Amino acid sequence: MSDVLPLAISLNFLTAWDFWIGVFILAGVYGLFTLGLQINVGYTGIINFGQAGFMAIGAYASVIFTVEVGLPMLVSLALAILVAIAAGLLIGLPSLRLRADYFAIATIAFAEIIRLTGQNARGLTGGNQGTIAIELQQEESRFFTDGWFEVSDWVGSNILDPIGLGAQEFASLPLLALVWLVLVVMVVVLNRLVRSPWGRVLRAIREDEDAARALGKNAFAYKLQSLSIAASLGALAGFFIAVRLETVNQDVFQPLVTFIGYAILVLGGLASFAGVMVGAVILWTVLEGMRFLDLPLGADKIAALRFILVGLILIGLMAFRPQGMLGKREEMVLGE
Amino acid sequence: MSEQASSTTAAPASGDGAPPILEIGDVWKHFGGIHAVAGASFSVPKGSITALIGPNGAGKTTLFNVVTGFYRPDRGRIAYEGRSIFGKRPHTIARAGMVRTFQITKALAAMPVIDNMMLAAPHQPGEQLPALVARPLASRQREHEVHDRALDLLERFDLHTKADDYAGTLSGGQRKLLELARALMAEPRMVLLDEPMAGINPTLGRRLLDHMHDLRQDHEVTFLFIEHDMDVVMNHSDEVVVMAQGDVIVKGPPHEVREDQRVIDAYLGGAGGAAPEPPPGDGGAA
Repeated sequence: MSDVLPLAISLNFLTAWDFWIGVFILAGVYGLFTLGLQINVGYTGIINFGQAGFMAIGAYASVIFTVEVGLPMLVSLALAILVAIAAGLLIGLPSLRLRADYFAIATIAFAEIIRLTGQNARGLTGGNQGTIAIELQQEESRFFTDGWFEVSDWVGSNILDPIGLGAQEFASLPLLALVWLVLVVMVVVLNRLVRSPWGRVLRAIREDEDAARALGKNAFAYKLQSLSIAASLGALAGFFIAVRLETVNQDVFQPLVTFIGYAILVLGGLASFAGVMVGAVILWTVLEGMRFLDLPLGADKIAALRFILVGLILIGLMAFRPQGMLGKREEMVLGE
Repeated sequence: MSEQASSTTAAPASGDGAPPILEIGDVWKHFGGIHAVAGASFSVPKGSITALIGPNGAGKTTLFNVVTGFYRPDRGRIAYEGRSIFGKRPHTIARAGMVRTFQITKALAAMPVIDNMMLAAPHQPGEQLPALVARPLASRQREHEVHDRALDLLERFDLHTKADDYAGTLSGGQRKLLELARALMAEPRMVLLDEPMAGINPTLGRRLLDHMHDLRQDHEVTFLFIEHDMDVVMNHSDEVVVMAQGDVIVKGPPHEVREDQRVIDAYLGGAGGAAPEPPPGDGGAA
């Protein structure tokens, strides 16, 4: 792909550990994020464009509960997930009865409301500066990630160090392991769920909501459940992104983020949770790898170029493998 | 509002004295200025095969949608097995034992035939998340029962070789059969079929009709079906309900309906011709 322009491209980054650790953490976090989209779009047939909103809720709520309220990190996470589910019900109850495209518009508006609230409710969220720590007293600050770094440091000195991975470039390895452990567990659980009678109803609603209703299935209730699960996964991803960045800034929850999720979905294939993992790794390898290309362009142009490349990959995929990496072609063709 | 006693509304010389399973009284449904259903009344005797006919735009499908909860009626009385189902939601009505099919078949294309069938089975605890987690064994056991029953039914409908194929790969006629078989998985006491014969070849059509008669015979399933094929209507129904312009104009056994001048007018004459009793248009705008 690089022989068109005479460029000096160094591919050294591909052998750097911290590059791959970074890529896989992002892929894991956005994998969780996209699992939610998968159950909505791939299994229930509802178009959720507001996943970034649930991520924002997860991130802000876990930080606020930890830092402002002073709850333990895990309790904060659990509460944040509940808040996201409540928000999901709030948006779903009035709008899930609408046609799919109206619902999509409502969700994108919802996500922007959350983000802009985060940007402007400075007292609570830190606004554009973000919220990391609250100085309770002059001498003692409380950081959101305090609890995590205790664990992470322990793992670093007791497990990683003895096996020779104690260097600074491996510092994020514990987070990588945790994110992927959670991701894999979620993939297994969701796979079991969608293969159950419950999942069969979801797929029926995806195929034809009226047919499902005519057979005695309360389609609306199932759509709400699907959305709640997506909201939980979005919140979980939000929690991890807050841990990773050690701060929460509204910029991370731009609507674009939801569409990165959709790109992962298309790459990996619809109705495949394992495909989400594959798609997330591919996408983030491309997006992060492009940072290291030594192009004679400004940083902003390179940033734009990243998405042009993603677009080209998606177009190529549509042409040669429309079902994505792990999607089922039959379901894709027969769905129409 | 469960008035099961008298359905005296407008039933001239009705069926064989069986109690009605479905009673429709003065049902109205309008879309904007159009009264798609305008005061329709009739009842369907339990265990009967009743045909619903009428020219295009008479309101037959709209009435189906109203009765099965897909449209909310403006007013009127709809009772199933003596209980009002007015304004109830589709899944509630289906669970009560009244299941419908659609004019344009709704095979769940990207699901295997067997999943189409198993989906329709009632009383599957595994369809609820809490029960699925708390009692996985109950769910699995029910799946086994349902799976066996689905295979039996598929065999009866000659679809068992297709069990693992995607429903989207079936032919049009096979889809119609699948839709009927799937409706039966729901263990209905009454089935509403919207143009079951449309677009299927005569052999498959005959088989579908045979199934209908068998089910009525063996399981006392009541059928109400919309149909345009007059041979089917005349030869396979006990009762015929004729609709025109949103109202029921005639109801009776096939041979009587065939001769009725009002029916002939409705089919041939259009709006102006002869519509003695339904006051068109200004009748009862809400």
